[in-house]
Amino acid sequence: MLSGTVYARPTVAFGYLANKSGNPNFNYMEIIFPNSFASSFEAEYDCKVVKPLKLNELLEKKQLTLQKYYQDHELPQITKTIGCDLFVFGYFIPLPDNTIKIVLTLYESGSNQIFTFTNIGRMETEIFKIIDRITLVVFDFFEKNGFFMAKPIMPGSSVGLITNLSPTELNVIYAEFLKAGYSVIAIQGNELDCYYACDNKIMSYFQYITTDANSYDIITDWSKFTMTLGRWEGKKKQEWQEDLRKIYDVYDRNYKVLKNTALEKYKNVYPMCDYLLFAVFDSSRKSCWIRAIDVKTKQLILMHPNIVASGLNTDLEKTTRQLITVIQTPTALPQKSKKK
Amino acid sequence: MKKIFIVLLVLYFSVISCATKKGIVARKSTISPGSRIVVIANHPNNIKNVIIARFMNKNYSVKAFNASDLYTIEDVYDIKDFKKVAYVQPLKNDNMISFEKAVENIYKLHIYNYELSKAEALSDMRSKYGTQYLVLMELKEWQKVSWARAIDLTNMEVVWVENYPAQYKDTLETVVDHFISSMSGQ
Repeated sequence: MLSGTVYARPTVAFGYLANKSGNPNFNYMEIIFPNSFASSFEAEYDCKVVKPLKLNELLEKKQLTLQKYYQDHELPQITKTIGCDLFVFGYFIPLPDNTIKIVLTLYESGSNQIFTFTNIGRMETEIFKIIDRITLVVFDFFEKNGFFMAKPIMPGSSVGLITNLSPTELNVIYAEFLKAGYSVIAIQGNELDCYYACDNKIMSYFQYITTDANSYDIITDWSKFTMTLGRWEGKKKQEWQEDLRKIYDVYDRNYKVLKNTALEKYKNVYPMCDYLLFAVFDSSRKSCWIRAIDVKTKQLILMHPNIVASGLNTDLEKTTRQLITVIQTPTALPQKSKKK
Repeated sequence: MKKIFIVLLVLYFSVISCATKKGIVARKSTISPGSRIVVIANHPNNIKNVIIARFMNKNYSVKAFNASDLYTIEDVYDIKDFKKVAYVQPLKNDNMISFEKAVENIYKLHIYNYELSKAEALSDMRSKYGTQYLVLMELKEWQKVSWARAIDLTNMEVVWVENYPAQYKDTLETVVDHFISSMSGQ
């Protein structure tokens, strides 16, 4: 009779924040930090939070124990066991000068995508600011479907764009950036055409960016990778398997090192380039997703899953203007009165 | 009423189609006559000559570098082989999923490095040919959009872009002259 909109409140589970300092005096923070994040997040977002001790109780009922750290490939199973929508855990390291580095990992159940970000701040005077910043990142990621902003990209900075656009379209987006006061570095646009720009599949790979501090990546479970080894395989098969092992070693395990080496060279080859911005548009050019890397620090600083211009008759120009608005607008938590 | 609707519909679609073909121009700095430039255009040699002649007539110092592309990766390094490596072998599906990320990373690394290689080639263009600006140009027939772009090779900044829908009265020379005027801010 009274059919209202019924929706399930999402469950956000917080694991431990492992103390990686080696100093047991900081162990008490392993629970205090996640408790603070959980309370702060609950105050901003209409969800059910599960704090570490409660989470451990839940797991103990299933003859399991909450671990301080989980490997990426363990996350799909643990979130399934917990029955949560988002699982947050991480570690902290107190640094010199009374600062602290906090690294958090977010895993949305069933996504097979993992987001890790780092926050550094003063231990005593800024601890509440750190908690607020982290709450904002978790809120953005969960509420805005994978949005992340470590810092805005303001006019006056230099941006190198990698897109899936044709040369004429590339001129359109370059013109909009120039008009908005950015310097545009000709990374992709320094040739008549770009052979990979039209390949949407290749461009889609850049959705996942792995950097030292912040990463958005897919989980690969190499524990499921089976190789039958034995004399019966023959020499050729064994050589093949060794090659596979090397490829995995170089392009999965050590990918970040190789990419950092490339980005280090970008600093010399494109000395004016502040940010590398990947912008991939849909076929109608009415929406796009973006990723941005700070070339100086080699860190992922911005992700937006779906930028759409408002109004009718949207086109590449309007979508680009909206993109520019997004990258230069600092993110903030909504007003308390707007709590969903 | 029906006629009005059809007329409005036709008008709407003509506006939409115009929007995709409209001209745009943005300039960060001008490239004045006397500047040392390389013009790259992917056209037959007789058309390339016309383009270069128009620049020379305006007193630009045009360097003899006019390849259609700087680097063709397909010729020297067939990255698709890696993809083949990933699928040819009869491994189980789970293995393929695990391997997919490594293959994607190969592509990503290749693109990072490809853009580095191009930039290094352009840097050589500046140091060996003494070029200040790279001008890229593609001319299209009437009603289609010709485009051009200029890059300052000292800092790799895009300094001028223009999309120009050729007009009925335009010829090859007038389009190139239009681009030169726009680029030089005259």
